[in-house]
Amino acid sequence: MLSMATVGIILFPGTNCERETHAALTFAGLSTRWLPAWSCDLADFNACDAYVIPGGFSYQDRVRAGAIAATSRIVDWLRAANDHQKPILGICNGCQILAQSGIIPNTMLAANQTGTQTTGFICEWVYVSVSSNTVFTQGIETVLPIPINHGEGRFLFKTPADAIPVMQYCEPDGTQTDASNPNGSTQNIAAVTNAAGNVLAMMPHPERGYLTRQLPHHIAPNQGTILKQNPQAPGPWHVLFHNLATQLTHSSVTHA
Amino acid sequence: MLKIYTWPKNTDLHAISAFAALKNQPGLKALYRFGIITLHAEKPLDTQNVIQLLTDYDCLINPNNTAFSLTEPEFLEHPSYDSYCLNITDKTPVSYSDRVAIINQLGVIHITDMQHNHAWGIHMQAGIHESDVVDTIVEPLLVNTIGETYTLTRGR
Repeated sequence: MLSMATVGIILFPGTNCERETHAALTFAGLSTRWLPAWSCDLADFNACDAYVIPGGFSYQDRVRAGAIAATSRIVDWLRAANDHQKPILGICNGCQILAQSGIIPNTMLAANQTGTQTTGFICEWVYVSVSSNTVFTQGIETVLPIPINHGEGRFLFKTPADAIPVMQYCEPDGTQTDASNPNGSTQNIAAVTNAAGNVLAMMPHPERGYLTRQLPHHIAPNQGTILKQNPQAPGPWHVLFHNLATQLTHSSVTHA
Repeated sequence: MLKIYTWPKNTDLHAISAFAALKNQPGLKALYRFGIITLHAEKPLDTQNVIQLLTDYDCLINPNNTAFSLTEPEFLEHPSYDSYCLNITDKTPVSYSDRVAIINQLGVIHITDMQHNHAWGIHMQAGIHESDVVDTIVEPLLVNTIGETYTLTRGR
């Protein structure tokens, strides 16, 4: 009998999106385990099949977002898990931690800035075009709405070749414009992966769009009809978590 | 041109966390995080007017929680340790035109431009080589060279 795959949800002081992340993972049929950076041990950590670093403000964004968390013991363990190509998802502050730690190499999330004007903290729904070059986004070759909620989300790279985009800010029709780039990111990038494709570092929040009822009316004006038939109707980002569940189940079968 | 040095009146949690994260680096004795605001003007600025601006208005700092000095702060020097000033600049230029307009509307001083940089004071055990400070303190944590440049200068 196959055991249900377990995803470790890594917690730092200041993480604040762990409940939604847990809900999105369990909705996709995955088991989860809390991994508090301050108390979990290596055996607990290694028992997980994949890892998610949720959004928040780890260590109050001291020094710069994700910088202090990236020096922690649990991130050393995460580097080892990455060496074994376990799936790793970093959302918002998790994305910043993956960049700061070098798990996503040669990448920095700088303060939001369009042109020479700083924009400050941004909280709004945007559109991204998605590429299917990670275990999380296989089969998603489309434009999807998604919320962003960050002050330091502008992707910078050491060299252009270091950027492996997975999601790029765009208009609803998929056109990439300066106007659709809310934070001034290089190449409109909203999410990147590593060379192996097992890591997804994304600034937008997929856990806030895994159910249809999470979408605002101006994004999904016909959701009332859908929800009347099924209050738990999956939203546009359920597929990302479903892909992870499929990947982990497939891995379990092939290793059984 | 006039430089204003700013730092928190309360305990600086940024500095505490950075120090804790770097605790295994040999020779590190103390860290101080501060800001450097550089004001540009066509005529020399009256320092008393600048002090009035910083004390009575919150257009540059919040005077309730931020201390300031028009000369280098004392924590940049130490009688026993080697001290360094790390000055960090974003590679992407930032415009402060909105802030300049607000300051000029107040009428206390008149400036043409301004910049704001983050900086760190670093105290090291005497004898640690400067390149080790860069390799163990500066580039691993305090500066991200992908988006930032820096200068590291030795104190007196």
